[in-house]
Amino acid sequence: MHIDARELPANSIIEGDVCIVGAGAAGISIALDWIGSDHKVILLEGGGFEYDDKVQDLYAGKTTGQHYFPLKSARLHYFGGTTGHWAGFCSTFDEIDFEKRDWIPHSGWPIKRADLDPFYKRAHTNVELGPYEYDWKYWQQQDPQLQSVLKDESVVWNKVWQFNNTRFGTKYRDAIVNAKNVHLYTYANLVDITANENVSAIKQVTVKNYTGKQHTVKAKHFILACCSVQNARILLSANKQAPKGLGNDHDNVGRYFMEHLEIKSAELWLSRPDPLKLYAWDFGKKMRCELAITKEQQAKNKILNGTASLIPLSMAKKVKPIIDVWNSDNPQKNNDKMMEEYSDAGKEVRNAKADDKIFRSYELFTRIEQAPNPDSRITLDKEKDALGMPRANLHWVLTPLEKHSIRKIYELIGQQIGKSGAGRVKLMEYLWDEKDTAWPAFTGGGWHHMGTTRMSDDPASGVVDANCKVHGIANLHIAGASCYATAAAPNPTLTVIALSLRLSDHLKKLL
Amino acid sequence: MKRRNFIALTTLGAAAVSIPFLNCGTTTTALEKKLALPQALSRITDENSIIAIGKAYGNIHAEEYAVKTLEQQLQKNSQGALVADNTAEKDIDTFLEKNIYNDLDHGNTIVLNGWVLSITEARQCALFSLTR
Repeated sequence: MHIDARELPANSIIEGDVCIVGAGAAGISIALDWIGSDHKVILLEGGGFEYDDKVQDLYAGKTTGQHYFPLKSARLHYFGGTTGHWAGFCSTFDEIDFEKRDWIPHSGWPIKRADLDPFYKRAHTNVELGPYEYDWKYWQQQDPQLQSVLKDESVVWNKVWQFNNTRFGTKYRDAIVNAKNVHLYTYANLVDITANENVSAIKQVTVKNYTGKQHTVKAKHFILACCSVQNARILLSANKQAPKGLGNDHDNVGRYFMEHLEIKSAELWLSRPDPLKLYAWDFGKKMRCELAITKEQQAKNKILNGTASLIPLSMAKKVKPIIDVWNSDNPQKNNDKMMEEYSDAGKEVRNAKADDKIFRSYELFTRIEQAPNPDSRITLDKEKDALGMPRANLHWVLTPLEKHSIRKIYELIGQQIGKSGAGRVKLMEYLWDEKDTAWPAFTGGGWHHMGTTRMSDDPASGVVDANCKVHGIANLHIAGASCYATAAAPNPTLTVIALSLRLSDHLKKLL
Repeated sequence: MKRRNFIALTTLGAAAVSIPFLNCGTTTTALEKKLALPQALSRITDENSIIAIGKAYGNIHAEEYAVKTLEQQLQKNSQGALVADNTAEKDIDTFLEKNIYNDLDHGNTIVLNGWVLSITEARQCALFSLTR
């Protein structure tokens, strides 16, 4: 069922069993999981079914620290969320990502990778990915042209990514709208949360839109599924009963903001041309590998988890740094510019033969977790948005560990590529001096916001528990990457969905 | 990246490898020629880059940066094996390749001008920079 909250009489009361705030990949996945149950699910979406710049403006905010994309255009604010333009890069987190690593402060989750395994498989279905197979040799059996550039995988290994940019907004709109027990309210932006007297449970939330109407939503359980910046912003803004914000007794809400550092880092020069099909990406491709570092080597070298993807160097040199391309407040324009860059630059590669010199050299591009850092954070601005909510400020902070890790990753990859006889690796100049901790101007992120309501068994060091429930509040849960204690190397969406489905299962047991 | 003719010639075999050294006059034996030429690197970068890499190694390891010293370093390996003037050319190749592989396998590498190189091939670059 779909209700446009703008059309409701002002001050309507909406009641249900579960209230999901936010209809992106996390919120929609949970709602889908409840279709046909005996419970009434309220799904609140701040926008409508299409892009609306006025609604998008509610995401605007300031950024300080490490140069970042404009907050207004870093997510999409309508039904389907950022899956409305995502590239569909999916991979699973590694076992080590969940472990306490003594060389990474604040690392360690209260759950293990095995706890997510069954949910990853279900998440695959939501994203319409291929088989749940993350061993590259499975894929090689389907296509023998997929050959490793490594001699062995004892130090560097081939980590599989699968791709499908399922647009949740279009794919699942009918299923949600036609579901009898799921009530989707569009143009319903959460602006306030009211808890009980001792702030141990949520009684209701207030939603509002540009018509000036506001409504009240009551439910047994509430799930915030609004992405890392907004989840933190909502909790911090809900300060009428808890002065520091809900779930923020220990000053953790908004802290530990993490992004994937995405940055060109090295060049791979081959002895002879090779299209390296196993590592190649193009529009429509179903899988590829990135070069990853084994758990043992991460521990030995005390580094973060990161991977290297390969792009023909001549193509890479034609593409401007994403941080420079994605520079306006309009996400659609930014996305169009970026797609144009890659499409134009890729023409030469698509037309090249396997022995073309274009396949002699590659750019090695890093995606790496950043160390959890309490100083990297979301705070509230004095300025308010059009609905009266304080805007978000992002202060993004990196540490020397990220740079040390990138350098070491390419040393290891260079050693292994050399060992295989394929060629040699050359680090980019900003990595030459081990003592230099500065970041070049082209340093960027992946629009991956994580960590602002981090998971921990200990309320002193986290906002949610292992079941994604906010510490100290019986019926408030968080879905999404804001629960991540560490960021791992893969793009976050597949894990967001897996973690959300796990939360969904947990709530079913409670109701 | 600009690549010169000599690089292409090195990929053709031992005879071609000697081309750049015919003009330098200081090293003439097969052993000396091979010790001073990092084969893998010569297939992917140019002469000037190799010289620059060699000089960068010399800046870090000034105590080694002499022809005699580098030749001595390159003629032996960690297991104590040696090559000499009377060693067959293909055995010299094998010896150096094995040393480079072992360096890479054991992380015995160095980053010079950005290149991740085995210590053996870094020394070869250094020797090349002194003998060309």
